[in-house]
Formats: sequence, C-alpha cells, structure tokens
Amino acid sequence: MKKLLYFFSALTIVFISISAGLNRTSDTADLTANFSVGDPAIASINAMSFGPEGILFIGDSQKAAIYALDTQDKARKEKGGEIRIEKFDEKIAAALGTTVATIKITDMAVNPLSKMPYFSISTMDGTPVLLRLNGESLENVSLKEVRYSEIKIDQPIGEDVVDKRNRPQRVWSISDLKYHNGKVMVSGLSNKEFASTFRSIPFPFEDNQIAASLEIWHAAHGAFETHAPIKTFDVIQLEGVDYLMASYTCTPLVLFPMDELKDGVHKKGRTVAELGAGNSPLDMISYEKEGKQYFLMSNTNRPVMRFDYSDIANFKETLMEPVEEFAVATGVPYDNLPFPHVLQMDLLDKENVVYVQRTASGEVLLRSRSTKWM
Amino acid sequence: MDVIRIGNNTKQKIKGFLVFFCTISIIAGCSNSEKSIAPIVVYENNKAVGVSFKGEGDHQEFSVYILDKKNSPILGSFSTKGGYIRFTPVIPFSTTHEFGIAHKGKQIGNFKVNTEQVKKVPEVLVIHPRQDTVPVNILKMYLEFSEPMQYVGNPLDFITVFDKTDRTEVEPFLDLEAELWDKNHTRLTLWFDPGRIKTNLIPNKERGLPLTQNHSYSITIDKNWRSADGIPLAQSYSKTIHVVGKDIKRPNPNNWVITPPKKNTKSLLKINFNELLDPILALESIKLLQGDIPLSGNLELTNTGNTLLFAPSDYWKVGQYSVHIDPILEDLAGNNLNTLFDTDLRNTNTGNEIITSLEFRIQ
Repeated sequence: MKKLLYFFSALTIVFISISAGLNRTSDTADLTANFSVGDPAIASINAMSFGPEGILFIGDSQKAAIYALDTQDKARKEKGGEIRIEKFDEKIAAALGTTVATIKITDMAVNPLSKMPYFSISTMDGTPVLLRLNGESLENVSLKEVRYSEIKIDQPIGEDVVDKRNRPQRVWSISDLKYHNGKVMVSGLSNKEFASTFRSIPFPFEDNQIAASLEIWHAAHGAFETHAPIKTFDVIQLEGVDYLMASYTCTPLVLFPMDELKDGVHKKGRTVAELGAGNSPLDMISYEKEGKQYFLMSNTNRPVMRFDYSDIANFKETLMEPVEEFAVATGVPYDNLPFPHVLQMDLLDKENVVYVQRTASGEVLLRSRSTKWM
Repeated sequence: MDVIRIGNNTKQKIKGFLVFFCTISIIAGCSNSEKSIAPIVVYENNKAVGVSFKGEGDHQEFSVYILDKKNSPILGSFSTKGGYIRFTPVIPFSTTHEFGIAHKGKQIGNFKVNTEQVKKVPEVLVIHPRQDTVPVNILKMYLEFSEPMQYVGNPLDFITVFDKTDRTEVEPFLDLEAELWDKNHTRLTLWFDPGRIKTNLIPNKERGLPLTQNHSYSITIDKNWRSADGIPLAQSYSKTIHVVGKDIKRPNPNNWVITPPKKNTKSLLKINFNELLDPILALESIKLLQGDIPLSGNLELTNTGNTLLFAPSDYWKVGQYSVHIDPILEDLAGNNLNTLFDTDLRNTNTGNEIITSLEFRIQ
C-alpha cells in the first residue's frame, strides 16, 4: 500500500511537472505567436535586453526598430559559473578575423534562463554581429534565419530620403532598452535633433501599435528647459511602487513613477541625485544581498556606484538647485566600488555579476564577481 | 615529391635540384600546400566575403584563422560544392591579416586578401558647415569621409581645436562615448557641448559658451584616423572658422527667395535661404510637391550652403508648385521652425507664425 502511495505521489508530481511545462510552453507560444521566420535584416545592434523565455530584444538604431528574437536558448541553469577571460576584445576580434580597432562591443545581456552572456558587436563593414559565450567559446548567433517580430519605434519624416550618394541620412541612437512587466522600454538620442525620446512599447508587438512616448527633462535648470537624453535606466520598486530610475549624461539620477508614464503624457521627473559633471552613466543593474536591495551603476568617468534602495526610498527631496562646485555629487548617498572603467555590466545569476572592464594596463577583461563583494 | 621524377641524367643534378627544392619547400611550405588546396578568395562588392579551397569531408575538421592565432578559429559557415569547400566568415576578411586554413588542426593552406580589390585611401570630403563664418552658438558640425572609418573609441582624440585668437587649444565639442556615425560609417556628427550653449545650465555657468565671439579657430583632423580597412587618411585636414554673434532667430521661410526655372526644361530650381541652415537636415526636411504629389529629382546644397538646388527628373510643366518644409529644419544654432534651441520659457512671445509651405508657379 505504501509503495502504491509513493507511486501515485510520484505520478502526481510528474503530472504537475508536465502540466507546468506545458503551461510554460503555451505561455511562450502566446508570446511568440506572431513571430515569423526569416531574415529580419537587422542593420545595427545598439542595445539588448532579455525578456521571458529566451526572447532577446534588440534595439536597431539604423532602422529605428526593436526586434524580438527567439534565441531558442531556453535550457535553465541556476548558476552562470565563473568567468574570467583576459584580452576579451582580442578574443572577439580573432573570432571575427579582424583587429580590435574595427570592432566595438555595443552591449552585453545575460540570458536569465541559460545564464549565457550575449554580446552585440558593431563592425566597420557594417555587419552587426551577435555572439554568445558558451563556456570559454564564442558562438555566432545567426541573425539571418531566425524567429522574430519587430516594431518601428520611430517613423521619421524623410526616412526614405537619401543623399546624392544614395546613403540614408538618419541615425537614431538607442541608448538603452529594458523589458519589464510586458513592456519594452527604450531611450534614445538622435544625431540630428537634440530632443530625446523615451518609449514604452507593449509586448507582444502588434500591427499599427502606437508607442507611448514620453519627454523628460532635467531638473535644476530654473526656467530654462532642456530635453536631455536618458543614457541608461532601470525599473526599481520602492515601497511597493515601480519607478523608472533614469540617468543622464552629466549625471543626474531621476525618478518617475511607472504608473504615471502614459501615452502622450509629458512628465517631469524628480531628481534625487547629481552624481557629478564630466561623466556619463553606462549600465544599471539591481540585485539583492542579505535581504537588502541595491542597484549598481557603471560610468564613463567614475567607478561603479552602489545605491541602497532604502536610501533612495528615504530621500524625499527634489534637487532643484544647480551644483555650484565642479564634479561634486549631491543627493542620495552612494558608495564608490573599486571597479573603474566598467564598459558593460549585467547580472549573471542571483549571486553574481558579469562585467567587461578596461583594466589599468589597458586590456579588456570579461569576468564574473560575486555580489558578496559588490 | 614531383621533383624526383624530373630527370635522372646525373646524380649531381638531382642532388642539386633536391637541395634547392627542399629548401624552397621548407621556406615556403605553406605555398606548396596552398597550391594543393588552391584557396581562392571570393569578392563581392569590393569585400572579401569568403574563401574556397579544394577539399572534402566533415566541415568540422576544417578551420580558418588569422595566421598567428591558430587556436582562435574564425566564426563562419562551411559549404561544399564541386569538390570545393567554401568558408563564409561572419564578417568579410580584413586586408590587415594573412589567414590560415587547417584540417584536423594541421595547416593546409594560407591566403591573403588582394588589397587592390578592396583598399582605398580615405579622405575627408567635407567639414560641414562649408562656410568659415559661424554663429557663436553653433550646435553641430559634420565630418564626411570618402570611406567607412574605424571606431576610434573617442573621435575627439583625432580632432584638435585651436583658438587662434587666444593661441590656446580648446575643447568645445561634447565628449560622447557614442560615436554618432551614419549607417555607412562615412559621416560623423559632432555636437558642440549643448549644456554650455543653453543659458544657465550648469556647464554654461561653469565654463561659458564653447566658442568665443570674434575669435578664430582651426579644427584639425589627425591623419592617423584610419578607415575600416586600416588605411590612414591621405593627409591631415584643417578648417578655420570665424565666430560671429549669436543666432537667436528661428529659420523663417518667408525670407527665402525661390527662382523658378522655365517651363519645358529640366533647369535647376533655386531656393535661397538667405541664412545658413543645417546642411544635412536641409536635404531631409524640404520636399517639392505639385498638389499632393512629390516631385522626383535630386536636392543638393550649393557650396555656399545657403542655396538649395533641385534638379527634376522630368521637364517642368506649367502650373502651381509648393515647397514643403518640415518644422524640424534647423539652422546652424539648432533653432528649428518651432522653437529656439535656447528658450526662455518665461518669454511667452512665440514670435512669427510658422511657415511650412511656400508656393511658386512655372509659367
């Protein structure tokens, strides 16, 4: 009898597991139901972010479009494993048969399922390349024959205009892209008009979808407006409320309640920190350590900064006064971590971060590091 | 070896041949194997897009690599056709390396890209604006190159701006880690620091405008800037600009002068702006229409930068035409048809009505 009970219990567990698996499959099928197979003709990869079920979102500045790619990379792993690759840029260049001067790592995103880091590489020849690191080996992720869907984020007037040498004129440089709660959020900077845009696009993408657009301005400018471009952002939860945490060149940190970011709404953010002039933020990630939430921000001319969520939640002021002394930081307190020149950064798994860093010797290093030491 | 069969008239001669050919074989072992697999570089649109070589078998046993990096195979795909294996790299082969082909880890051939087929010495074609007199609040400059250029990390490392009046080097451009290239990597946008141009922003208060009125500046492009193929510029390039007062007016199409061409000709239509507009936006923002139908033809700015020329594809017919202007059109200071780049929001006077269309008639 006991054996029979064990048998039925085991059978129930198997059944539940299969059902859960089926549910997951059907969820994925829903998300990718309108995907097509073929060559999306991606022209450039400027920013990337993983969504659910191995779907990689790619921001293409040249085509002013967002692509959702089904990477088929869905094997779940708990740990990313230790990563330490010196001269990582040279490794990529060798794998592409070229030199480091002709390539640029434009973004890195870790698949939260497989824990594999993906790298977008821009090359001189104009061919965008997507690579992933499988163990120690780089693999090419084909952009030619894939399951995907796309949405235009911008329909600029004159999109079809070419100059006399038949070259298209517009570049809309996507600075960051994140997936959160069924929406793809995109910030960008134009090489023409200085005004920046921030868009929140529901996923799965639909035809004729109107993206919410949002203009954001810098605090502390008195009566003079400026539409500063967001360089990087994340969504953080403070006291049960989701906020867009955005950072700009020169380096204010601004909060916007997510539920107030609506189609067509012109929303002014609350500046909670000025992190110093002569700097530009690069990447933001959030993690949990010993029951507390933190977020990290990497920078062009400052080391990685660590913020405690509770410090941000407790900071109720809005910074309105200009910082009078050059490069001085004010507002929410933060810690400078001993990691300068971190070029790309993402969460590898629950307990580890992976980053690309230019070391003091000038070499480019890819390595993982426990959040215990961050 | 084939050499042994060449002749056996005298042992001395054979020995001589053997020593000679063995030496050659040792020195140029790769050349021998190259002959045996006969690698052929495949070119398309001036790019080395693949290599074909004699061979058959499991593709996984072959690898292509930079000659001194045998342990780092180049990513790409293999295919077989007619006794030849074709390797297509993810990106075209560069001209800066020699490449090896290995079978089961042993080198069986090598090849180089024929530079004649792909290389061109890059030049700076234009530094926009073409004119040498610019407003003190100028917002952008563009560099146009003849070839796609390399990423350099920070383009400002290759650009020197010298204040000829104060005899000192200055840094008026915004230091962006993003390099604002166009799709073909031949045109770079440079921003003068907008934070220093906007009144009362912190950078403006701390450091003032990026340029100083009545000063002259030389802008020099370093010849070490390299093209995508690794070829440095033919020479250094320099342009001198003279800085005049602020441009605090929006572009006003009412001041434009349109010179209509004669009917039944393909003569150029001239639109004189009577001011300097953003040279790239001007080409994008202006369209010629007859009724609602866009005219096909070619728009070009004159070297003076203040006149737009439209060459129609078809003969002009008698009738009414219009010039449609997108309000995003900017002057050199970033003022567009709607707003000034540096706006005092306390000033509610929006100025003139915005003109986005001008009419003209061909008689």
